[in-house]
Amino acid sequence: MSGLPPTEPLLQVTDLRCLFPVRRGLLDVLARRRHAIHAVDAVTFDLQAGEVLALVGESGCGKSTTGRLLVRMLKPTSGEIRFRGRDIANLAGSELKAFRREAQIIFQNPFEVFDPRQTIGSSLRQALDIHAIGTPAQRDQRVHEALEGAGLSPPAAFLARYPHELSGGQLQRIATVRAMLLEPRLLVADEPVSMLDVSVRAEILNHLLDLRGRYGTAIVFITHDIAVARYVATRVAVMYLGAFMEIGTVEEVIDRPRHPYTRALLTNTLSIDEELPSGERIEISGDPPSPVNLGAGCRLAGRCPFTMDRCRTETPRLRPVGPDHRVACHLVEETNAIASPAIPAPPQSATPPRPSSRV
Amino acid sequence: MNEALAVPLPAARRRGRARAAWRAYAASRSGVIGLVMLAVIAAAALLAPALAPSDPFALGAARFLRPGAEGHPLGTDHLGRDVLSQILYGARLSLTIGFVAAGIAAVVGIVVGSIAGYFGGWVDVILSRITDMFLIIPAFFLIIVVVATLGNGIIYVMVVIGLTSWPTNARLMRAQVLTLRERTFVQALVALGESRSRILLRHIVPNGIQPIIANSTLQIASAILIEAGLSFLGLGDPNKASWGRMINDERASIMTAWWPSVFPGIAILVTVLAFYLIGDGLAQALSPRERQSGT
Amino acid sequence: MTTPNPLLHVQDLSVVYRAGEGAIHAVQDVTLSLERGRSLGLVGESGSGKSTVAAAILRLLPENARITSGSIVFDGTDLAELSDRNLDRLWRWRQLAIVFQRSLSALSPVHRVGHQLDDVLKLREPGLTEAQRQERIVGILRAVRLPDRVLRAYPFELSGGMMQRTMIALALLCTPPFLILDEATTALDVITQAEILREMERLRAEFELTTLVISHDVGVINAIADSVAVMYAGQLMEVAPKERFFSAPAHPYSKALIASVPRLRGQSGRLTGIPGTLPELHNPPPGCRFAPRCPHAMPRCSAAPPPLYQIAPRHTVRCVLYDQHPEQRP
Repeated sequence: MSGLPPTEPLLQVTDLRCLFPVRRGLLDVLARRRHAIHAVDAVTFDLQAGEVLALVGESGCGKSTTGRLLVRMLKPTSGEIRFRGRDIANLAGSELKAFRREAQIIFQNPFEVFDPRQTIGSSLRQALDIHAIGTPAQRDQRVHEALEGAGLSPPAAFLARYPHELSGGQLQRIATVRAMLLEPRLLVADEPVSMLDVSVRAEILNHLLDLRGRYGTAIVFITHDIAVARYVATRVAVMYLGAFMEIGTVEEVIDRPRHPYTRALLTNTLSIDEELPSGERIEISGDPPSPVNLGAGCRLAGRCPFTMDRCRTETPRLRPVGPDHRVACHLVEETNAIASPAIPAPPQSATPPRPSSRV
Repeated sequence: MNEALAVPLPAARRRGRARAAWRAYAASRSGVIGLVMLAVIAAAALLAPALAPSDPFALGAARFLRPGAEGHPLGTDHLGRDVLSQILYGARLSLTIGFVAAGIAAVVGIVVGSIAGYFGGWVDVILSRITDMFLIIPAFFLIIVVVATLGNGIIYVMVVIGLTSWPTNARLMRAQVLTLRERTFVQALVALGESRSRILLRHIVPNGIQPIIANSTLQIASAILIEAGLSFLGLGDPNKASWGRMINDERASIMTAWWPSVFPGIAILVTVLAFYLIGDGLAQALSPRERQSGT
Repeated sequence: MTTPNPLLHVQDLSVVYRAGEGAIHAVQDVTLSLERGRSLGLVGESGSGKSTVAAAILRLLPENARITSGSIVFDGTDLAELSDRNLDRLWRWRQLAIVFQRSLSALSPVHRVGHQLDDVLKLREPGLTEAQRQERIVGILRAVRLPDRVLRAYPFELSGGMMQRTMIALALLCTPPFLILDEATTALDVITQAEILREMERLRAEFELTTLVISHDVGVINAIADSVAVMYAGQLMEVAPKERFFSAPAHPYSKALIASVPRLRGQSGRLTGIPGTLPELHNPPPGCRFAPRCPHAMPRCSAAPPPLYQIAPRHTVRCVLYDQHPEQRP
C-alpha cells in the first residue's frame, strides 16, 4: 500500500522547532534582545504508515502548531520533517501542491471550515478539481460515493445544502470526507470532536477509524482529552509548552504513566467512575511560566512536586524507559528501574514548589 | 449507519440566503422607502423620452412660463425650455454619473485593497501608501483642475470622480481581507492545495465585499452631488441636461422666477436622499451577520 | 418530585424565544427541586435548554425570550411574579448568584478587580461603609484562596483559574444561600478544572450553599453534584440521586449519554454515540422529543409528552417504558 520498505516510517520528525517572534519594545531593540515564543521546541518522533498517534496536551502546548507544521501550513523555524523520505520543510510550487494531496488536515470548528457562500457539493468537488483527479464526470461520481459511504444519504440532499443548514456533526463528517477524497497518506485531525456534543463524537471518531482502515491513512489525532486517545490511537504523546514530555503506546502512557505531568493529567481528569480524584493524585501547582523565552531547565520546574535542583538548570531530554516508551524527566531517568510502575514518593528535602494560590 | 436528513427543512430555509437577505433589508423602513424613491427616479430617467412634454433643449416656448402652464407642468426657464423635460433627462445624467463613478471607485478599491491585504509585505506597504496619497488629495480641487484642463465631457467627470473616491473602498476591502485570510475555511482551502489567486478571487473577495456595496451607495450620492456642483460652477457639460447646470443658469432670476432653479434642487435632494436611505437599509441588512449554525 | 421545604422549586417552567419566522420552544414544562444545602447537577447537550433555565431563574433572559408558563418559587416567593425592580433590588446577588463560563467578558477590562468587586458590593449593600466593604472583600478573597494582589490586578493579568476564583468571589460577595454555576469550569484546562471543583466543594460546605451546577460534561456533574437532572431538547428526562444515576440510569437518553463518554479504564473498543440529530425546536415533535432517536420508541411516545413516573425515592423519569409503576406523579 505504501510502497515503502516495511521499516521506513511514513513520517520522521527530527528536532522540529517553530518560533514565533514577539514584538520588541524600544529597550529590547537597544539591548539587542529578541523575544520569541517556542511554540514547538525540539520535537522528535516517527510515524508509521497507517498508525494513529494522539497528541495530547492543554491549550498552548503546541499540539495544534505541530499538526499544522506536519501539513506545511506553517514553515518550521528549524528541524526536519521527512515525509516518505523527503524533507518537506522547503517545498514550494507544484511540489508543495503534490505534497498537499498526500497530507491533509481537518479542523476543530466544523461550522467554519466551508465557504459559507458555497454549497457542500461545490466545496467537495473543489478538492478533486484542484488536483485534477479523474474526469469531471468521474469527480461527481466520487463525491456522490464518498457521501454515501460516510452514511450521508441520500447524497443529493446534502450536495445542494449550504453549511449553515447543517449540524456540527454532519459538517465535520463532510469535512472528513473532503479531506479523504484525495486519499492522503497522512491526516492530521486537530481536535475534530472538541466542539461537538458528546453523543455525536462517536460517529466522527468511528468514521475516522473506518477511513483509516480503508485507505491505510496514518492519523495524527490532536486532543486535549486524553480519555479519547484510548479509543482512537495506538500511540500517545503528551506535550507541554511546546515539548514532548512522554511518548509511548496507549497502554504504556495511560495505564503506566511515568512523567509527573502525564500523571497529573490522568489523575485530574474527571471521570464518571469515581468522584473527585484524591489521594494518589499529582498536583501541578501555580501558574505556567511565560512561554516567551523559555530558558534552560524543565518547563515544570517549580510547579512539579518532585522538582530537584537539576530540573531548574538542565532541560530533560526524551529517554527510553521501556520498549516503546520515552519520557523527558530527570527524576524518572534517575530512579528508573525497567518495568517498575511504582510511583516514587516526593523527595523530602526537595526544593518546595513556588508559593501559589492553591492550598 | 445511514443518516437521513431526519426533518425536512422548512420552506423558508430552502431558498435560504436570498430570501433572508431581502427580509433583513426590508426590515429597515428607510431602506424600503429609499428603494421606492430610487425606483421612481429610475423610471423617470428611463421613460424620459415618453414622459417629457418636449425636447429639453427646445427653445421657443415663452420664457418663464409659470408651473401649470399648458404643456409645461413645471414651467419654462429663461430660454423657454421646458423645466420638467430637463429634469427628466437630468435624471439620466445624474444616475449615469453616479453609478459609473461609484463603479470605478468600487472596482479600483476592491482590486487595490484585496491585493494589499492578501499578499502583505512590501506589496501591502506600497499599495497602502499609494492609497494614503490619494486620500490626501483634495478631490474636488483635483476634479476642477482636470475638468478645467482636459475638458468637461462627462466621461472625464465620471472617471475623475471614480479615481478620487476609491481609497475608502480600498481600505475597507483591505480590512476585510486581513480578517478573512485568517478564517478557517480559507486555511482549509490552502491545505487542500488551492492556488492563492483563486482563493482571493473566488472566496475572499465575494465574502468580503458587503461593506463596499454599502459604501458604494453613499458614493453614488456623493458623485451626483459633485457633478451638480461642477455644473453649478459652470464646469459641467453644457450639452447635457443637468440639474446643477439648471440651477446655475437660473439662479440670477431666482427672486422673480423660482421654479427653474428650485425644482432641480429638489430633484438633487430627493435623489441623494434616496441613496442615503438605501445605504441605511443595506447597513442594517448586512450588519448582524445571520450565521445560522446547526445544533 | 418535591422535597419538603426546598430552597428552590421550579414548576412546569416553559420558555419561548421569538426568532425570525417562528418561535423556539427552548424549555418545556421543566420541574426541578433543590433541597437546602444540596447540589443539583443539570446536564444536557447543546440545545437542551439548561442555560435557559438558569437565565430564567435569575431573569437574565434576552429580549426575545419569554417565560410562557410555570413558577419559580424561591424560599416561599414566586420569582416569576416579582417585578424586575424588586427582583433586582432584593433577590439578585443577595439571595441568588451565578458564575458564568466566559469570565473574561464578565469583568470590565479597564478597571482593576478590587474596584469592580467594590462597585458591586456598593450597589448591593449600600448600608456598608468603605471599611466594611474592604473587610468583606478581603475576607472573600481569602475564602477562595486568592492572594491580595488580585485586588490591584486587571482582569487580563489573571490566569484562567484565578479568573474563575474571582468570579466565584464576586458571586459570594453578599453571601447568597443559592449559587448557579453555568459551565463555570468548561473553559479551563483539566488540572485547573479539578482544582476549582475541589474548591467549590469546600466553599459549598463553608458557606452552606445550595447549588445548581449546569454542565454538558457528566464528569463535572459526577464531581460535585448530589443529584442529577437530565435535559434534552428543552424537556426534562430524568432526575435521580447521583449514585443511582450513574449506576442505574433509567431514561434511554441518560443511558446512551453515559455510554458515549470515553473512559480511562475498562473496555476501549469502539465508542458508542446516539445516531440522528436534534429535533427542530421551531416545530418540536408533540410528544417526547427524544423519540426520533430512541431505540425503544413506541407510537405513543410521539403522541403526547410522557408523564413523570417515580421509580424510586427521589428518582423520577419521563418515559413510558416505566409505565408499569402504579404510582404516577404528574
